Amino acid sequence: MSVDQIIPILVPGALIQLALQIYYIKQCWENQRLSQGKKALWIVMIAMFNLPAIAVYLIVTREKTSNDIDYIDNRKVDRNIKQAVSVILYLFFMVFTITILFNNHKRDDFNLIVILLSVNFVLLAVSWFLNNDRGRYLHYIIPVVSLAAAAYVNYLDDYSTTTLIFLVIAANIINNHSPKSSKIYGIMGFILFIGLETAALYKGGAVVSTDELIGFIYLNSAIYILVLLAFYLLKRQMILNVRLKELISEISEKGKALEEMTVISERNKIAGEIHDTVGHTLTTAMISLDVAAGEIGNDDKKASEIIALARQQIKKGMDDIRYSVRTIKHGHDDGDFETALSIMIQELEKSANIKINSVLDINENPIPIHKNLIYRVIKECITNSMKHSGCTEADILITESGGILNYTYSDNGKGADEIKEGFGLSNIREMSKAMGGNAVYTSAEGEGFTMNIQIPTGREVFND
Amino acid sequence: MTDGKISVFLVDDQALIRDGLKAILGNGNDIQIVGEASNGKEVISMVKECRPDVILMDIRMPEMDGVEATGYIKKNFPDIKVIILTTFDDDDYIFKAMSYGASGYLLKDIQGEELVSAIKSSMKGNVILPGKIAEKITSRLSSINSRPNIKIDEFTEREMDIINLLIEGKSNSDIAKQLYLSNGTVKNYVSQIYMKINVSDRANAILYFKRHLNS
Repeated sequence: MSVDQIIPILVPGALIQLALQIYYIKQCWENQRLSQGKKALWIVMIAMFNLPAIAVYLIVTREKTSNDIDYIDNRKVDRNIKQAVSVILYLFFMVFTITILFNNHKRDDFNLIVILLSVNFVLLAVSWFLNNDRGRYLHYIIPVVSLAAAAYVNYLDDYSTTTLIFLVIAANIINNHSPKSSKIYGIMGFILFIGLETAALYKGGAVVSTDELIGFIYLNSAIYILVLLAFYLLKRQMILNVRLKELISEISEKGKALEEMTVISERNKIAGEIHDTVGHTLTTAMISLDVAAGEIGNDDKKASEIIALARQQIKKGMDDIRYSVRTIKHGHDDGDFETALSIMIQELEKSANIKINSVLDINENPIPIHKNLIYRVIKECITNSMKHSGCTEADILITESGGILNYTYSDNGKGADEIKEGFGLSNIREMSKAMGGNAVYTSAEGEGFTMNIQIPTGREVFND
Repeated sequence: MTDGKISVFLVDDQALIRDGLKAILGNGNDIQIVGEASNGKEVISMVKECRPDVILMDIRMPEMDGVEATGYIKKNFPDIKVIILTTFDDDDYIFKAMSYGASGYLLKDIQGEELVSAIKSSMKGNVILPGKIAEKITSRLSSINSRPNIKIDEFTEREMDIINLLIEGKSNSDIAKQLYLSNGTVKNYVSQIYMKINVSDRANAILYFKRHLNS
C-alpha cells in the first residue's frame, strides 16, 4: 500500500479534519462563556488532538440545562425506557456469552471464564432490583465486582466478543446508577478496560511496538468512550424527560395558583372600588334624602334642593361604577383610548404578523360605542388583510375634526379590482350607517386596500 | 302621532323604573305614554295593537331581552323608533341592538328634559347617543358629504402640516420623511383630507386649498 493509493481518502480526510479544527478553534475563540485561560487551553487541545478534543470540548462546554440532574434520585427516570434498555443489554449479554463459551470451550481456564461470566450474569440480574434504598452497599459493590470480572474475562480471552461483554456490563451500570456515580464507575471501567486490554497484548511475552501500542489504546479508548457516552447521554436524557414532565406540571400548578391569586386580588380590588365609590355616595345620598324628607311640608324649596343634591351624588356613584366595570372588564383603564388601542394593536401585530402603524390624532376620547366600533373595524380590517392581501404593513389613522371621527385604514397588500363583500365588511357599513356615518372602501390590483369611515360625534355642531 | 303627541311605549322589567319614566315623561304636553311591558315577549305581543312612535327599551330582561325584541320590532315595524335604555354604556348588547336598527341608546340616569328631547330627536330620524350629543347627530349620511365648505380650522394641526406640504407639490413619501410618519399614514391622511373637501385627486385638492387658504 503506497501513499498514492490512499490519496482519495487521505486528501479529503485531511482537509475535513483541518477544516473542523479551524472551525472549532474559531468557535472556541468566540465562545463568550469561556474565560481567556480556558479558551487558550481548549484551542491548544483542539490543535493538538483534533477530533477527540473537539468532541470533549463540545460536551464539556455545552450550555448546561440544570446541574441538579446529577443529584436527582436515580429512580426518577422514565421506567419503561430504563427497563427496555436493561432487557436489550441482557439480550446482548446472553448472545455474547454464548459466543464466548463456544470460542473458548477448549481452553484450560474455561472453567474460570464460565465462573466469571456466571458472576456477571447473576450480578446483572441482581442489579436491576437494587437501588439506593434496598441493598445500599451491594448497590455500590456490584458495579466494581462486575467490572473487574468482565475486565478479567476480557484479559483471558483473545476474541473481541469479550470487549462487547465489558461494554454491556458498563452500559448496564450506567443504566442503573445516577449520572454522578456513573461517571465514577465509567472512569474506573475505562482504567480497568484499557489497562487489562493493554496487558493482554503482552501475554506470552509478546513484543509490541510503540506505534502499535498507541494505535491499540487509541482505538479501544474510542470504542469505549463512544459506546458508553451514548448510554450516559441516553440516561441523562431519560432523567431530563422526567424532570421536564415534573417542571411542566409544576408550572401549570403554579399557573393555576397564580390565576386564583389574581382572581382573589381582582375581587378585593372590586370590593375596594365598590366600597370607595357606591358605598360612599349611597350613604351620603341616603342621609340627604332623610334630611329632605324631614323638610317636606316644612321648607319645600330646601327639600327639593337637597333631593337634587342627592341625585347628583347618586349620578356620580353611577359614573364611578361604570368606570370600574369597564376597568375590570378590560383589565386596564379603558377610559384612555390611546392605551387601549395600542394594547389591542400590539396583540394584533403579534397574531397577524403584520406591522401596524397607527396614528391617533384626536383631542377627546370617543364615547364607548364609537370606541367599540373602531375596535371592531380594526379587527375586521386586519383579519381581512391577513387572510387575503398578503400585506406586510398596515396603517391606521384616526382623527377627529369638525365633529366627525375619521377612521382610515390602508394596507400594502396585493389589493383586488373587485372586493367580494363578506359579512364583516357589510356589517361595518351597516354599523357605520346606524351611527349616522358612512364607510367606504377602495381597492385595486396592486394598490392595496383602503377603508374610510366617518362617524359624526356630535361634539361640535357643523355648518347646517 | 295622535293629536300631535309622540306616543311612547316603555319596556323595562322593573316597575319602579317604568313608573319613574312615566313620571318624567308624563309631565310634558308633547309625549303620551301608550303602553308598557316588562319584557321582550310582552312588547312584541302588544306592539301590533298600539303602534307607538317610540319604544324605550331596556336591555336585560327575563324571557326575551331588549336586543332580540328590537330585532323583531325593527324587522316587522321599521317605522317604530327604538331607543335602548341601559345602565352600562359599553355593552356589546347596545352594539347589537343598533345593528338591528335601534336609533341609539341612552343611559338610565338621564335627566328628564334630555330624555324628552332625545325622543323628539329620534322622531326626526336622528341617531341617539348619550350626553349632549343626541340632538346634534343626524343620521343621514348626506349630512356628511353634502356639507358646504369645510372650515380650515376644522383640520387638525397635523392635517394642516400635510396640507401645506401638499400645496408645495411634495409627494407622499417626501411628506412622510419630513414629518416622520410612515408612508401609509400619510396616504391615509391625504385620503381623509380628500374626503373632507370632497375631491378625489391631488390636483383638485391642491387647487381647493390654494383657493381657500389664500382667501
